[in-house]
Amino acid sequence: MAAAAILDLDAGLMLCVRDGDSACFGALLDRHRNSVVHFLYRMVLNQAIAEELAQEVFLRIYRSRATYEPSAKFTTWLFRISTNLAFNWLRDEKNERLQESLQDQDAPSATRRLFDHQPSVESVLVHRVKLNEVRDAIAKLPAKQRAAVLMHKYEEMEYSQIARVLGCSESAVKSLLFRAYESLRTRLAQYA
Amino acid sequence: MAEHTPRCPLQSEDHAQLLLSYCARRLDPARTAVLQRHIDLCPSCRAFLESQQLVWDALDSWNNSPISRNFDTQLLQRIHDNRAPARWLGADSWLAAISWKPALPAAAILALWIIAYPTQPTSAPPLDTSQAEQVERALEDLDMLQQLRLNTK
Repeated sequence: MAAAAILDLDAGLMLCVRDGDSACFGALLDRHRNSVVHFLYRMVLNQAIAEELAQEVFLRIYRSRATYEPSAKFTTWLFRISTNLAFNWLRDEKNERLQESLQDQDAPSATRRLFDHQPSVESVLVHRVKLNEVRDAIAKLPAKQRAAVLMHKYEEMEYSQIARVLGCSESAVKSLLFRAYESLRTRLAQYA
Repeated sequence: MAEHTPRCPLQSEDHAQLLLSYCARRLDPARTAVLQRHIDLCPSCRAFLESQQLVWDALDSWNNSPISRNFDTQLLQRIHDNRAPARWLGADSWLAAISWKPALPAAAILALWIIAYPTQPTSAPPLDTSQAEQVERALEDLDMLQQLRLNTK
């Protein structure tokens, strides 16, 4: 693992940050800002919260620069922090209620516009409705399954890396993904 | 769909990874070719892949939202705010920066000195019997004086 870490460009940048080179932190931010924010957005389904959590992720990375050791792939560490923060946020009952209300606000408005014949193009509205279906299907997945699907689909992570991020075995990840995709196949069967 | 055809063992929890990777186009060419031959002959796997492809397309349609322009500025501000107290706590880092190694031998010598020559508590020499009697008499005199004062009042 150490050999792989040496080849990891991000680990090299992080070592520069540890040595006091703040430009390297900017480079790390440029490389991972989008993926972290988008991952968190798909986890919490709220852009403002996703950005706030993403800032917390990078803040934690920066704070722990002095003790950083490249013992694992940088992105594994990065997504481990991101996932934990998302899990904590989702676990908060109050936030979950807010999330539900946001979904409730979004879904009917799209449908209402569809029937109100608003001046927008029909295909755009259909797309919005379909997008809500996808969001809804993802939102109904348990947090761990959701994280596994998002890392597998959007971050194109290997099973082994997802396992390290989630702190479970590779076979557990296979099981998580199997169940998650099974649920999504059922929920999105009408999506075409 | 899959309900009408017997489920292929490839769709079991242990092996579905192969079909999922095929759908995600992450299989190497050799394995892709082998699996393709199987899919051509297996209606169950074809149905599975069709439904999985729908999921894949649905997830692909979920585009990323643009990130706020001030994301980096806010982050840098948070880093700065986080760093600010460090100036107030500068003494910690100053103390940590001092090398205490040269002082260690001196401290060890001092500790040995204290162990070898412990300081004796300064105690008064014991009183002999005549002195003790004098003290007793003085105390009795004091008592008498106090009683006299009380009586006169």
